[in-house]
Amino acid sequence: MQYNIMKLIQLDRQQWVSQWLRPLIVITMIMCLNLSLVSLVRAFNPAWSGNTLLAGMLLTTLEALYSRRILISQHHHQDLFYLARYHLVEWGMLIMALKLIQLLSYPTQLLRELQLVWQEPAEAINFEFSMMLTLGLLAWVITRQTLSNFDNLQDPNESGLAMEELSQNFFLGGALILLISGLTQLLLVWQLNYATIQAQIFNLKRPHVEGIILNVLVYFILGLVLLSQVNLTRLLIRWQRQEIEVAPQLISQWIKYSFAFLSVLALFAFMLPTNYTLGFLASAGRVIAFILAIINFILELLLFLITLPILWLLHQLLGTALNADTPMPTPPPSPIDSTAMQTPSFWLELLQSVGFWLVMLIIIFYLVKTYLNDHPELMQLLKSIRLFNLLQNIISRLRQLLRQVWGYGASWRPKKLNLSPLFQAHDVSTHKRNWLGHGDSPRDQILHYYRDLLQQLEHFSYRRRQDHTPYEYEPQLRQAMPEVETEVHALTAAFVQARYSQADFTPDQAASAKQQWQRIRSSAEHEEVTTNEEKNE
Amino acid sequence: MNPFFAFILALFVIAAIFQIDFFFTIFYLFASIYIVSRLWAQRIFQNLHLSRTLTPRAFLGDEITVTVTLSNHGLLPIPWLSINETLPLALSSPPFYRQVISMGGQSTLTLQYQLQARERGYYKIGPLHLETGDLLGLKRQLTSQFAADTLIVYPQIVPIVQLGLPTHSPNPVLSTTVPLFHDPSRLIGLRQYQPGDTPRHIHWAATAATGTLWVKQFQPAISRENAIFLNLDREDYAERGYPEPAIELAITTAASLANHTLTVENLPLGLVTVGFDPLSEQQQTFNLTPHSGRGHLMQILEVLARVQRLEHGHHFTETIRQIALHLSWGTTIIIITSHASNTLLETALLLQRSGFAVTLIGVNPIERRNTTQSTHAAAALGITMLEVRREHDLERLG
Repeated sequence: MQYNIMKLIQLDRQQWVSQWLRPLIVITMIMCLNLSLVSLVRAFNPAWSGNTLLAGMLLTTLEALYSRRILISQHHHQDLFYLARYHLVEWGMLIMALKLIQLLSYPTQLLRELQLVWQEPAEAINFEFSMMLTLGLLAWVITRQTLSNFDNLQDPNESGLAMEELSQNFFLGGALILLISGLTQLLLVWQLNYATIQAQIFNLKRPHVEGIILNVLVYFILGLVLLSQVNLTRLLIRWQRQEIEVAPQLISQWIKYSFAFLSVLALFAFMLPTNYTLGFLASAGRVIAFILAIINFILELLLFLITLPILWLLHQLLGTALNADTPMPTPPPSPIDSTAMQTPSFWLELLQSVGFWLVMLIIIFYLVKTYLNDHPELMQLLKSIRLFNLLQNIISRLRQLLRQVWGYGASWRPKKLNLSPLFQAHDVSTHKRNWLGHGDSPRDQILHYYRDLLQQLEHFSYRRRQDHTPYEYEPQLRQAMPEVETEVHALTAAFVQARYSQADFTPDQAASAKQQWQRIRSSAEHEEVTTNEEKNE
Repeated sequence: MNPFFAFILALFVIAAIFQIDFFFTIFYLFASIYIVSRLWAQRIFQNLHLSRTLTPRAFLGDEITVTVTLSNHGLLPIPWLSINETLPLALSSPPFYRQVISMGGQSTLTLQYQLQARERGYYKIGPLHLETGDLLGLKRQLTSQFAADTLIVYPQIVPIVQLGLPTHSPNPVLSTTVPLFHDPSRLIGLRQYQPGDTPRHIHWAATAATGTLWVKQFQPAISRENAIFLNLDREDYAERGYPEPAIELAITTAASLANHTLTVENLPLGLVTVGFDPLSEQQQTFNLTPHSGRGHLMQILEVLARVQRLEHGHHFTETIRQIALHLSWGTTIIIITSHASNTLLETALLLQRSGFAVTLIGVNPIERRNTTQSTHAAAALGITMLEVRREHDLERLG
């Protein structure tokens, strides 16, 4: 594949995106949010249709879009006086239109309502209308702010902030729609009254609610599409400002990759278990009990197999002496509890519960780990707490144990003629498999530390050229991280000695190499963070 | 806290409180977006392999094609990759090559751009800065860089039609009646050993055959070696106005002379100059001892391509004196400088009296009077001084 001519992207081509696609997405998302509000109110009062409110919301959202477009086309959006007058008139008209919608929604009572409004104007502002006004104003403000953020994307200095605000609004709206929909579902499923909602929310033993909530799904799908589109726009504007040529097929590939990425992950998310019949401890308990039962079964089976020939021999030799009633050993019972299998769905439920908690644990572990990696200062603070260190040690021991078990299991697999290690003696990635196995000799540990450092530094833009020897690479590192110059030199020297000499190494030397490796690593991380911050500034 | 991360936590809490299956699905979706985006972005540079291909040496006026090959060894595609190659202004305008591309999984992409060798020099092509990120802008953009390659653009070479230097002979070493030195390659006979003879000249075969010590006798010879001493001191050239064109002309003169002497006349030639070396990024004394052959010419041209002027004065004449001590007797010394100062003339006279054939070449494209004065002063001392004011002058030098 080769690009011969790259043409500069004309963002004008995306006019339809800013004119139609984005407003349509925003309107739909706001309406999704409104729909969830209407559903909540209808859960309390099923007689209320909520169509009036929805129509009012749609009107205010459309008006917000339309008025902004008019203002921009008239070039008056800088004139404060003009703006104030414009919005006052706009809202006057909107109030009248909203009231008209409300009146038209009850055609049978139209005359009576009109008479009432005429006689007592204060009566026009009833609860429903107040709600329409409040929510309408909110929808109007959100739409205006979102559109303003879209406009700010065009400004390279503001685009980062605009993108941040858009994502924050999306997440805020997402949390809100979930909360409202959650409450609505509780009310709809259990037909609760207001007094018991609070009690039901915190009753975690209630059954799960199944099914898809359509407006929530639409909100999040559209939100993700919008995020991807906004990110692309931001980047395109930045590249255009920097006069960087953009490959013509980038946009189409972006759409393709976004679609594939979101679809695959959505499919994956829908496939994962979403509920559990057993709690975390119960699931863990069942799993542990099952493992213990299997171990017990294996032990008993072994005992049976050992004693069976002995007893059979004794029976043959001393058959006459032995009482004919002497029982032969019986095979151990199955490790699976037959009572537990009485219900056919037992295994499915157990698997579902274990799967659920496993996925949860993995996600939580990854999130916490990533968060701590992103906040080294917090990590340092936590490291000063003994309990945290203890936990960290337990986790690392567990990982080590698992690795050893894995390695032990792997050694039992049938051996194949494998020549690859002969050719991969210097490949850093091959050493990652047995990384920091504490059973390694001090020489191996030193080699591991240096190779791991090389691998880590690739992420920190200090990549070693393939033709560089350790001593050729050393000055580059020392120049990049002068504060750990001594450590760089010491670790390089230790690696060269460990790699090429026949000298013996003590555990102290390995420990010292570890310290040097840690210091260089943290320095590289610090340098990287500083550089990125400077770049961002 | 990252808003996306905070949102995932909020999702988890909401899903756990309401225990609505669909909320857990939404939580999974966002958690997997967060995790996969991060892992994907991190893997991009691990799986990306880069190579840059270009001719490492070029002559002035050449067009150099640089090919950058990017290979994505990973299964996942690269949604966007910004490439920014830093280029020297002397070779490319604008001084960068920028491109934003997108790559599929397990794919290779070839990008090409052209450089124009407009000025001699030692150039770094690159480094190539890379930037990438995820589709949703969740992870801070990742950067990496690919090391620079080097390109040497040789200086301009003007073909010399006529050269009036004493080395105008195809034979590098001529026999002479004046015993200047003995050429060990020209054995003319043997004589009996006398105290003081170097043991290295003992003819062991004859000694063994006769039982007495015999030493070899060599033909006396005169060296026809040449050495160019190039002055790159900015201050010396600055006295006459614009130093840059003068220094460039001096380098062109040295390159043209080297080309003529080594390829046309097939005589050994050396080069001595003190200048700033961009390779080591410090002041450097280049001392290439006289040798013949095309390979040696390329070495000389490489030095002339990359050497830069010196900003701070150094003792050029002192360098000449020191280096000349190690030159063969009778070597032709060609000193290329802006003008002949009194100190330089003294040094030239001293060298001439010491048995070297000295020629001064005054390079000055702007001023003429002072150069002419220098020529007269050199002529008064019996030293040949040639003038070069423009490249055309090089065609008939002497």
